[in-house]
Amino acid sequence: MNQTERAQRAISGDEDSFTLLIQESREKIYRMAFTYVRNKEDALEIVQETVYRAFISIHKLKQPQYFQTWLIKIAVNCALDHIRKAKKIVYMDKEHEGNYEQKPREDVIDLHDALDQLDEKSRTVIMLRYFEDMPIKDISDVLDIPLSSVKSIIYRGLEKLKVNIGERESLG
Amino acid sequence: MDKKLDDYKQAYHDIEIPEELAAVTEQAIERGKLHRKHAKARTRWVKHAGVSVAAVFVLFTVSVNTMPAFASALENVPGLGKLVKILQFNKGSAGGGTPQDAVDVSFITVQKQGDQENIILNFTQDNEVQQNASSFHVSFTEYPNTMTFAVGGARRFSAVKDFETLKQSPYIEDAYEIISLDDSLVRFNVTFTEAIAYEVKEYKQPAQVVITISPKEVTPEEQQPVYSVRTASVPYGETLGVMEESLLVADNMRVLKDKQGGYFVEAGYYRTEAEAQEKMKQLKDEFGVVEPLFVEKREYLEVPGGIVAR
Repeated sequence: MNQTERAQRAISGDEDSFTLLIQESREKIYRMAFTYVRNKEDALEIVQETVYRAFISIHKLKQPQYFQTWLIKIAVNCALDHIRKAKKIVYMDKEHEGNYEQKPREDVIDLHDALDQLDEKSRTVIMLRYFEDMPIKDISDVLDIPLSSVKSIIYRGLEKLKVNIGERESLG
Repeated sequence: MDKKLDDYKQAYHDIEIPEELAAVTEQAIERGKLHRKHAKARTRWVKHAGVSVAAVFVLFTVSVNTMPAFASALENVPGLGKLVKILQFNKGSAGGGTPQDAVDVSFITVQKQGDQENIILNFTQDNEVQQNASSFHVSFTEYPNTMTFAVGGARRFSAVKDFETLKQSPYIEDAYEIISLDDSLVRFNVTFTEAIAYEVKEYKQPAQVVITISPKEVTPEEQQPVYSVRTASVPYGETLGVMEESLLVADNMRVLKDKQGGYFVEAGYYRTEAEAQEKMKQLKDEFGVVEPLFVEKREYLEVPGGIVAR
């Protein structure tokens, strides 16, 4: 069974099909979430919210072939919501600062340094386009912005990354 | 450049996938199933409640419009438009407005009138002032004195910015939004610093809801501490919404903010500790509530404390 058929079943209320779809996509959602928050706990929380929201609103999805785009849209919104709310909450315990036993790999740190140069929207666009290989048309659907804006965000984002890389290389 | 981008892509796919991921997604689906179950139960409940609430209002509107004593009492009211009704509270709870969608609770103002204060809620729809209030529900509870507002069909809550203004009122201790898993429902709580008398009026053209509060005497007997049955505190977020759903079975459920800024769900409060313990046991045993519950002693005006789950 392909994804679209499975999505069709999930839309009509088949919970097992939904579970399978999520199993196929959960690593992707986790990586996207992690790219935003950079720690395991928050990333897992975003995954959980995403899956929960997807489950309770799957019946509203009209076209099964857009399941993947739709799910990514929910994930991006959950991640952005999470970041926005996290800014408002001051943690009383130090739990969130103490999780450094597991350091990320060096190349992941480089990736994060690079993405730090970009604002939230450009980061999302670059991630979806180049790391998830998503078509520009789908990105424009996920973010609800016109195709032309996606293109110019990509153009500016790449330019920005290139400039920073250039500077770093000249230093090294 | 392309090489660099390839490296980034590689790094992105090198992000380590934690072992817990599978368990977390399964848990999310379980929560979703629970939500579906409760959502069905809730739809039935809301229908019944809607009918009886409507009946009460028909009666009340008739009395406002026909009895001279009522009418004269309403002359000096602070609303801009026409009075629709004064809400009749039944066990601390009342509602008004008509069901609508795409509403924004746009701003809240406070107006002083002697020792009274009016809190005025304003609504917009499609960036225009709304003419008839969207359906709303108000309930008043004690320990601590709290007024809870729920506005249906509301997609935005611009008035969040006005909470600071509200807190400047000597009667108001705190004002805060409560998360709702329904994306067309805006809810918030106002906590009062002392015992208050309250009156809520609905206006149209433009739509406004005016809450008049004034100080009230409360006898010491009425201020005995109570024992609250509640969950642990969590940060603002969906976890809270899920907790709330799992406690829908409780009689007097409400969501409150604690002293430390965390949120929790209270199943109810009781006069004695024994009674609270018994209710807690009943929730666990008879209603199958799995959320860890606690009994907390609380004074009349005390803001609840933060309880951390183990």
